[in-house]
Amino acid sequence: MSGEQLAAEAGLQPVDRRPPLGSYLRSVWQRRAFIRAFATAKTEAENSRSRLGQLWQVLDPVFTMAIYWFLFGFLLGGRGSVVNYTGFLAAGVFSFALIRQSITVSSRAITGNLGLVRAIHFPRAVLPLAVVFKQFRVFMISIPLMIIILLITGEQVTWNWLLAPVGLLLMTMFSLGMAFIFARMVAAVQDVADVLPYFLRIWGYMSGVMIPIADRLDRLGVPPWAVFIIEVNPGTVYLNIMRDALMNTYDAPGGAVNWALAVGWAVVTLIFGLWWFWRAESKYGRG
Amino acid sequence: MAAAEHIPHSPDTPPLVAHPDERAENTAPIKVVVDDLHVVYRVWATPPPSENSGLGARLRRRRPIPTKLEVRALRGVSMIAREGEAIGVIGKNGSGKSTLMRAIAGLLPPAQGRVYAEGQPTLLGVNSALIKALPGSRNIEIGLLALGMSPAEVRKRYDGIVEFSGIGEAIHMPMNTYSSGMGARLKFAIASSVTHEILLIDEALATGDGEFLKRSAERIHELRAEAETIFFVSHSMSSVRDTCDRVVWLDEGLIIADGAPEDVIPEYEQRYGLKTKKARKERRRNRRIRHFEGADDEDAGEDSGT
Repeated sequence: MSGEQLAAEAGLQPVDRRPPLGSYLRSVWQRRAFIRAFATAKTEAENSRSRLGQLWQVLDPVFTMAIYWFLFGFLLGGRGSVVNYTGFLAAGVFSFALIRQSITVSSRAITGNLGLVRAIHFPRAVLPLAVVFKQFRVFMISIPLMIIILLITGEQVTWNWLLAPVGLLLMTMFSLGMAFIFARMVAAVQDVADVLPYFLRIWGYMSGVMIPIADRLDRLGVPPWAVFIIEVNPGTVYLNIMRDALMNTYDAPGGAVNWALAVGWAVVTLIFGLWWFWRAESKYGRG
Repeated sequence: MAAAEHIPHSPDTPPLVAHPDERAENTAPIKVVVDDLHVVYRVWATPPPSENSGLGARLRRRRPIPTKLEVRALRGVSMIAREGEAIGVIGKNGSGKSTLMRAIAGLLPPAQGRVYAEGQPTLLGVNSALIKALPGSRNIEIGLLALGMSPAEVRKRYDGIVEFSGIGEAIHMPMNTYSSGMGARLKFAIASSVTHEILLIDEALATGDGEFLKRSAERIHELRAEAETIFFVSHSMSSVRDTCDRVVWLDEGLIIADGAPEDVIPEYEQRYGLKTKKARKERRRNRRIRHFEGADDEDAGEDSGT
């Protein structure tokens, strides 16, 4: 009798079998307590490593803002038609920080936790989830800072601010999708994590973190199709909707179309990311 | 290749391979089938400089180009494990023991053949602290939650695990401050707190002290009584004798003996000179030392227990 027949007779399954998507998602949901505990534990570990610990992650957008303000607002005069440039920077830099940090940290969600992955069997999708959850909490701590900057620089609280949580939710869904995608890519090819910071920086620049990008590209004579691609890319879309919601001195180009695109990108990226991550489930932790 | 020509048995001893199916006394349900398993590691390595090239040539060629080398870690392993069996896996370093464990756990892609199991086998490795930067207490919590327990269940089991591990106050220190023995004890305590169907233990207990070894051997007997199948990799023949009822001997990626401990272990000891006068003397001395240390630990254990 062959091994395969023996196994089938005894009701055994191949050990490198991938669970079906439905039961996979159920076992992820079953481990929601793990996601919270893991995020908290990692936060504690980070806080114990240096004196200010996670506060550095909260302050990161402030320093980034200062650099951009000096370079583009002061030296190069890139503020264009923007009235409240400091507020424009705050809404852009803080929002993009959530996307950027979620992707950066989650790219090593598998490779940075190999001890856990190799010791215990659990649905690996909980690792990117936990990491994005942790980064989301950091972002929530930095939100008051952003609001203070916006108010000081002359923005007023309007009904539009009610849209900000919706924008935040969509942005988080998108970040989570990207987290799954990059966690798998880095698990397969570690070098991706080394290139990632440069990719994210250029992506941020092209999405108009520090200048109203569409204005600028028009004036530089960039062909319309290239401008179109830049305007519908998720980076530009999410920065536009956040600025739409938070600033009454600035009208983001696109208006309602941006919100439709934001929903589309969030749903598509999250579903594709989760599916693509699950496809490699039995490969994580090997090598 | 030298490996292919290797003859596993010295001419004066008959081969000991006994297929488990032929051992009529065991008819328990089959839990693991390893079917003609080959595992190949592909690594980038610089080939050693050729012997006949002169000094000048070696200096001129500053850096040899790394090439892809194939290491055949397992070369066709087949076996069956049944419910309630505790299988000791022995062999010298590099014989493929750890590779076999990782392949059964589904953590290594086979180059050929396949492993079938009931449920997902759990591997308890030597140096995989769950999260090094976190205290043992957090590791217990996260480990149990990852195993799929609810927070209420975790709270219920926490004390028992701390007590079993015997780590005491150090449970609140980060795991990177633990000795390898302490880490291994905690991991075994976490993993053995739930039933797994199939548990693979890769020398995790080798670093424990005498008293912990005794407790973990007891725990392994309990797990077997709960119908678990256990694979136990060890270089310590006395641990294998204490915990296992079947021994598989691996050599250069092949099974060269599979049978009862009293049949396989003596031959293994004879092969590697563990039965010579000198080795026996050394073992006796080690046992005396361990006896002293073990006695101390038992006192300490009783003190903290009351």
